[in-house]
Order: sequence, then structure tokens, then C-alpha cells
Amino acid sequence: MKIMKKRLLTLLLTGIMATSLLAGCGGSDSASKDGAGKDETPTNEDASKPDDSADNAEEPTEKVTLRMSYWNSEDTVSALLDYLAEAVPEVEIEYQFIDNDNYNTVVDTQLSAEEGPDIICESPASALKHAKLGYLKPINELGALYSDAGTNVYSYDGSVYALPGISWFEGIWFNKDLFEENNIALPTTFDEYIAVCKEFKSLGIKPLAAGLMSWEPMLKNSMAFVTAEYLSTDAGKDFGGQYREGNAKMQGTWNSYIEKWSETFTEGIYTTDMLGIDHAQAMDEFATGSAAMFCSGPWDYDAIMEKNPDLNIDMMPFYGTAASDGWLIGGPGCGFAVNANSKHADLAVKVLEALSTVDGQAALWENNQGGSSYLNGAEFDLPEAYNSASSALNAGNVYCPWNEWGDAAAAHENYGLEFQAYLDGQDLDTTLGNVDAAVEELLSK
Amino acid sequence: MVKTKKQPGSLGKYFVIFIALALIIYAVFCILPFIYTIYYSFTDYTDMHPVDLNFVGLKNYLKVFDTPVMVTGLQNSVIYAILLTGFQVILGLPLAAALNQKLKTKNLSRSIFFFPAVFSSLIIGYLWKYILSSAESGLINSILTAMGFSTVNFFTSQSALYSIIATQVWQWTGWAMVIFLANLQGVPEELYEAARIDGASGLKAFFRITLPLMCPAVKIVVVTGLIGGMKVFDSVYAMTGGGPGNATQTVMTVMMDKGISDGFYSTGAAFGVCFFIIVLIISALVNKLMSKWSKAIS
Amino acid sequence: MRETKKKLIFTEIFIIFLAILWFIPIYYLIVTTFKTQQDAMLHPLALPESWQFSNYVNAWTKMEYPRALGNTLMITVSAVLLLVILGSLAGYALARTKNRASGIIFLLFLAGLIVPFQMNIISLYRIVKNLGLMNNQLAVILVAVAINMPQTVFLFKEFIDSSVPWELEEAAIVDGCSVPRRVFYVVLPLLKPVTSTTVILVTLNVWNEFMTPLLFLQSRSRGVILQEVSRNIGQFSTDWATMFPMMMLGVAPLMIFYIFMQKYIVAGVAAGAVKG
Repeated sequence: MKIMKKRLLTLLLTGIMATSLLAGCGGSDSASKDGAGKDETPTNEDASKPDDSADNAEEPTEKVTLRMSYWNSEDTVSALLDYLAEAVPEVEIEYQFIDNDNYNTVVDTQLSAEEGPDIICESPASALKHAKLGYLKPINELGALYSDAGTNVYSYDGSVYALPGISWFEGIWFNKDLFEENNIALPTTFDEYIAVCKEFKSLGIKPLAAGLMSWEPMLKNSMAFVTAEYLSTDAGKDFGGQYREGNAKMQGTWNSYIEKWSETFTEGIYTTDMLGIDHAQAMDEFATGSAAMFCSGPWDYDAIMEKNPDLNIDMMPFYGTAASDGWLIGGPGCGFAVNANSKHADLAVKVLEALSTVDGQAALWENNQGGSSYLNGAEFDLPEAYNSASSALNAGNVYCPWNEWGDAAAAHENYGLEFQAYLDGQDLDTTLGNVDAAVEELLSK
Repeated sequence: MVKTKKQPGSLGKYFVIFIALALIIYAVFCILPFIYTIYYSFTDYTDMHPVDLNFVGLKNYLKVFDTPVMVTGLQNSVIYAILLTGFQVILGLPLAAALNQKLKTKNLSRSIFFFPAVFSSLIIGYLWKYILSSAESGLINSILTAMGFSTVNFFTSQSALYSIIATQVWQWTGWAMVIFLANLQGVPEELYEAARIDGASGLKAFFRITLPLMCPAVKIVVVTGLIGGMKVFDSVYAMTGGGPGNATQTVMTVMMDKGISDGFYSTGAAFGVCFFIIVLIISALVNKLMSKWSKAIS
Repeated sequence: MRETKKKLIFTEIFIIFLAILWFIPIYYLIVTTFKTQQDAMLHPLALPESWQFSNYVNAWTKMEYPRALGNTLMITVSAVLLLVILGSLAGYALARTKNRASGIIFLLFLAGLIVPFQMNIISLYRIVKNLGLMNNQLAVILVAVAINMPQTVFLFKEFIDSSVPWELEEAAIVDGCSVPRRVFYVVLPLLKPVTSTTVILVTLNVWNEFMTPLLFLQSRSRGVILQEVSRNIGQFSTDWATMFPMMMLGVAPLMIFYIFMQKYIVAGVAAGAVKG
């Protein structure tokens, strides 16, 4: 009896010790994270290799599969994927669409597990974070081919970690026919915009389709207004820099602008009903002609036209209260980065090399027409669908406020979420205060 | 009876052999993480600070209660668990009682009510997102419009949580019903016969005989329902992702967002411990209430 | 007597009405899969104008269904097998040994019924990573085994305590049977009811588990059906003709399992609960 008990205890103890040892040595492993956790990789490879080789065996040509993750659906890069298949024949790209809402969670967990995609599409915020953690491979030589305006949001500590894609910008798509048929002139100020919306409402047409189930529409729309009114002025141009350092607060500074902007609530342009609609459903409303306007960017153009090829659309910028060229929310497009732990990092770099040619940029531009390339020497004409936004584009009035927030950039999501609550009755002071708190928390990390 | 005849230790070395593997897997993936969670909750572990962890005392716990979204998450999970469980019992009991009668369609009805419980809450969530959508294409709103009513928004800050709960009531009532039915079938027919002779039938019989005898099943449904409800993730993830704003954040959506995605590991761990404590309190409360109930009956 | 009959008919009608109401969402899911987008929007609850089977073909290829189904099956079957084998042995050992160690171990397992494993996902994530099991289906299987082990052990132990008479084993001991033979020939055949209960409960749990694959399986080629559905919903959320068949394909395997195994599933859930 006693002997048995003892034996049992020993066994249990050894079992537990063995497991904690395993975890323990793993722990010291991740301690050397910057060294890419060398002791660990063999196990990983052992575990995954058989699968990989099996996959390869099915194909006659020995292609290497590289994973590329992005938050826009595959059609938004289909021309690029076709181009890459030709330009880098030894690589097969497995495109991994991850919904924007979960993009960071999924990619972060993958990266921290050293199982991330080989090519990662990064936002400036995530690129900074991943660069700091050593997940990304510096790509200075390729970065030098691009203009600073594109690469500086993807730089950290003197190195470039991601190549800027075609610039993105968001404005207001509008249905030309609905404006013309009803004799409504395009607005040139915020107040006119409100008046236009009211006119559509009185005609029984939904002025603006918005999928507020997502936190993005109101984020961009309100920030565009604040950009026009404040961030682009002498008084406000340092706000981003100060905010990043924790020296500025939104609460108290932004109140008056947002209060003005909240006429979009009181005039019934944004309604709580829209909280039950997602982005794609809103796009549907716009594409089928039941709404006059829709805030989005070039990435939705193809989808809108596919839904309704007869639709006549154009894009106008956002406006402040004073007459101006208007503003678009935007900046360097998704940054293409190489996973430092990728088993095929060299091939991933090769893919990015192919991307960093005029042809590569053209392929990327194909599904993002309207944006401009940051690659030196690559220039594309603005398609007709952006006529009414051209003055803003030409004036360089394209700005993404949170790109300047540094470590706190991820808080733009909190901003969007708080605005959902704001629309639903939360008071403004709390709304902005909560964003400040989220920023503070991120900065404290 | 049987127990007295057992010879302790008669399995010899086989006791260890039989148990070892089950225990090791359980230890590595359940007990060890639990210990680590408690350890992390007292450190300054984040994604930007993954090594050389320092002990920070109760800081993370204070932060949990200082972070509005975490408090909201805890609240919502508790509301969700209580309402879902409550409706499961309130709807499931009469349903089971009705289906325990000699109905012609009872087998078919029983399988229909149980049907949704077989499916993943994630896919059920996606399905209901379509059904409840306020876009023109949303099933319920398109029916309301066709009948001349105004549309209803199921996803405002006020309504979204309850919309999710309603879909989950639809999914899980059948589950509770099956458990109640099993319990009911153990109630001897003679009791009802006796009641009928006393002139008690229908509702009276239900309250006098059925309900008191259902104590064990109710206890199971309540305990599993509450604990399971606290952990809700899939259906919220599918339907609202925690929005609008933070109106439908639950413990697990916050844990995934803050604890994993945003990289606040140690605060997430402390949040997990708070979550565990609440589950413990709930279980203890239910146990106490239920034992009072069964005492009151006997 | 007539009074009760009337009541019964009333109840019957009410239940039928309620059952129809209950079934509408599933009916809606099924019919929509066969419709064109327009048909689905204009006549949401009617039968399809023309049956679009091509919707399924499309969804099938887009979600790489055979691969996702294969992965889900492999994970579920492995986890269920491991659980039944390991859980029954552990349950048996705990039922037949009454000493302190046995009591403590049983309590340890019981604690798992209350502790929500989700509270530990951060450290669980790290452990899986440190064991080198990330992006490996073994991680999902082992975690599924671990989190379902308490219930399994409990069910087997209780069942053996209450329904497997020791006398039978005593007879075998007298015949000079070794422990493994005794377990295999005497105990095992008696465990059928509890095994079927366990298999059903665990199958439902593991098949429908979303969070652990989401955390531990990164490559699409290793992912499960639910990941495939959630992955596609963002891309095709307004393309009903693709999305509804995808959801349907997502629930179809369990739907079929349910239709054929209904009796056992309902009985299993009831048995598992009443004992748990």
C-alpha cells in the first residue's frame, strides 16, 4: 500500500515536473525571442514538414507556398496575385483574407507563435508594433525605391519594415444620376453637405448609406471634419505629435468640432438603425440606388460596379465649414512586410522585389485605381470616377490623423467604437475621454 | 453495499497506468495554465514586455476594475448567463411538461425543439445576424415592412445584448427541455393518478407534483447554464463582435481583444482570475439556493 | 374525461404551432441556399422559384470543403477516441480504488467541471507555443481532450460505481484473470451506455469548438469548417447565394448526424446531464 502510494506520488511529481520543465525551457526560449527562438524552431519544423512535403508532392513543379495575409478580400488584389504568379514563378501565394475586425488578433497570435504569414500586410500601427517586437525583416534596400512620404510611416529606428502600397483614401461616393435628376448641386462646405442630405431626405431618398455595425465609417467621416477644421490648421497641426507623447488630450480639444459634426446625428443622416447594418449591406443600398451617397474608397469601386454596372458614380471629398478643396482621409496603403521568422524569407523578399517595379505597382493599382503609387517613377492617371475629388487630391489634402499617433495608433479603433456609443446616446465628453484613456493605456505599455 | 466489498489498491500498478495519461494531458493543458494564469496576473507581462517579468502586486486587479470595457464585459456576461438560464428554465419546463403528455406529435416536436442545440453557436449567430439585420434584406424586418409595421433595430446599444440572448434562448431551450423530460419520465405515473383523484389536474398538478420533483434537473440546467453562459463567445463574435461601441462585450470577447490581441497579457490574466471567482460565487450561490429548495420540498 | 381530452388537443395544437415557429430559422437557412440572391430577398420564406444547386458547388469550392471537413473529422475522431479510452480507464481506476490519492485525483478532475478553461487562454496559448504545437492539429486535439476529460472521467466513474457490480470482477479474479484482461473482458462490455453518452456529448463539444482552432491553427490548410465559414463571411456577406450554402455546409454534418442518431443524442444529453 504505502509503496504504491509513494510510487504514485513520484510518478505524478515527475509527470508534473516534466511538463513544467517543458514549459520552462520553452519559457527561456521565448526569452530569446529576438534571436528567433532557435531551440524551438526544429520542433516546429518537425511537426510541419511532413505536411508541407506532402503538399508539394502533389504538384509537379516544386513551388514554394508563401502565405500572404490582408484585410481586404481577394478581389482587391487579384491583378497583383496574377502578376506575381508570372513574375515569381517559383512561388505560389496562398492568399489569406482576414476580416478587418479580427485582423490584428489573428496576425498577432500567429506572429507570436512564429507561425505568421510570410508576407504580411501591415497598417502603420501594426508595422510599428511588429517591428519593435522583431517580427519583421528590415527591407531598407527596397524601401529606398519609394518616396519618403510612403516609407516614413513604416519606419522604425532608422529602418524600413514595410513597403507602402498604393495610397488609400476615403471620400464620399455619390450617385451622379440621383443628384442630377433631382437638381441637387454638389456641396462645397459641411453645411451645404448637411443641406444636401436634408434635401434627399425630403425626397424620400436615403442620403447616406452607412454600415455602422463596423466602427470605421464614423471614425473616418468625423476625423475628416476635424482635419478640415482643426488638424490642418496652425493650431492643430501638432496635435498628432503631442498626442503620441501623451501631452495632448482629445477631451476638451475636439469637443467643439465634434459637436458641430454631430449635426449628422441630429439631422438624421446617421441613425441608430444603421448600427444594425454592416458595411457590405450598406454598399448594397448604395449600389442598388436606394441611397445617394456612401463613404468609402477605391477598394470598393469594383464591387459597387459589379453589383450595378449601370451606376454612374463619382467621389467627392469631405468638407469643413469654410470653403476649401476638401479633404480625404487616407495615407500610404497597406504596407507589405516580410516575416522575419519565415522559412522562406528570401523568397518573400523576392516577391516584394517584383512588387517594387512599375509593372508590379501597376498590377496593384489595377484593383485600387485612384490611389497613387509611392514607388519612384510609377505614376498613374486618375480615373474618371474620382473627378470631383481631384481638387482635394491635387492639393495634397489626404491625411490620416491616427497614423501620427505612434504606439497609440491602434486606439483609432476605440475611437470608432466610442462613436458608435456616442451615436447611441453616450455624451461627448465621455466618448472623447474614453479614447484618451485607451491611448494612455497603449502608451503605458 | 457494493462499496464495502471493494479492496482498496487492488489494481496495483495498473492504477497508475490507467490514470497516468489522462492525468498528464489534463495537467498540462488545464492545471498548468491555471497556475500560470494566477502567476501572470501578478506580473507586468505584455506583448512588448514578454521577458524578465516583475512582480507588480495587485496592480492588474485594480486595473481590471478601472477599465470600463472589462467591467462591461463582466456585467454583460452575468446578465447573459442569468437571462439565458432563466428563459431556458421558464420555457423549457412547461415545454417538457407538455411533451410528457400523450401527444401524437410529441416525438417530432421534441426533435424540432432540440434541433438548434446540435449546431455551432457561431453559425447560428451568423444566421441570426441575417435574420435580424436592419437592412431591407433582414428577414424579420422585411416581414414587418410587408405587414405595414415600422422596422425594428435589433442592434442598438440597448437592444443588441438582448437580441443575442434571444437567439441563444432559441438555440438552447430544447437542450434544457430534454434534460427536464428525462427527469419527468422518472416521475411515477401513480403520483399523477393520485393527484387526479384528489381533483388536481393540469396546472395544479404541474405546480404541486411536477415542479417539486424537478429539482435535480433544474439544478443541472441552472448550474451548467450559468457557467456556460458566463463563457459566451461564439455567438457574440458572430453577431456583433462586441459592438456597437462596447455594448455587447462579454468576458471572452474582452479577453480575446485586450488580453490577446492588444497584448495586455497580465491584465488579461487578472481578468481571467476575476472571471473565475465570479463563476465560483455563482456556483456556490446556486448550490445553496437549490439545497434550500430541495429541503423546503421535503 | 372529455375535458382532459379537449385540453390535450389544445396542447397539441399549441405545441405544433410552437414547433413550426421554432423551425422557421432552420427552414429559412435551408430554402435560401437554393435561391438566387434576388429570389431570396423578394420572397424570403417561399420555396425557391428555381432550385439553384450551383450555389452549393460554388460554396463547396470556395470553402475548400473536403479539406476542412477532413480536418474537422480527424480532430473530432481523435479527440473522442482518446477521451473514451483514457477517460474510461481513469474512471475505472478511480472507481475501483478507494484511497486518499484516488480521492484527491478525482477531486482534481471534478474541479475542472467548474473552472472555465477560457480564463486561462493566455497561458494556454503560451504553453502550446512552448511545446512547439502551434499550428498543429495535435494542439487542438490535446486541448479538447484536456477540457473534456473532467466530464468524461466523472461519467465513467459514476457509471462504474453504480452499474458495474464488483462481484463480476471478483469472479474473474478467482479465475486468475489479470487486471487488463478483467477490464477488457468483464468491465468493458458493460460500459456501452456510458460510452455512447460520452461519445455524443464530446462529439458535439469538439465539433463545435471554435476558439481553440482560431487560436492554434493558423494555416488555412489545417483549419476546421467553422474557421472556413468565419473566414468567408467577411468576403461574401452580401453574396447570399454563396454565404447561405456555406453556413449550411457548416452545419450539415451534424445535421445528418442528428437526423440519424437522434434517439441516441437526445438520450445521451439527458443521461450526461442527469448524472453530471
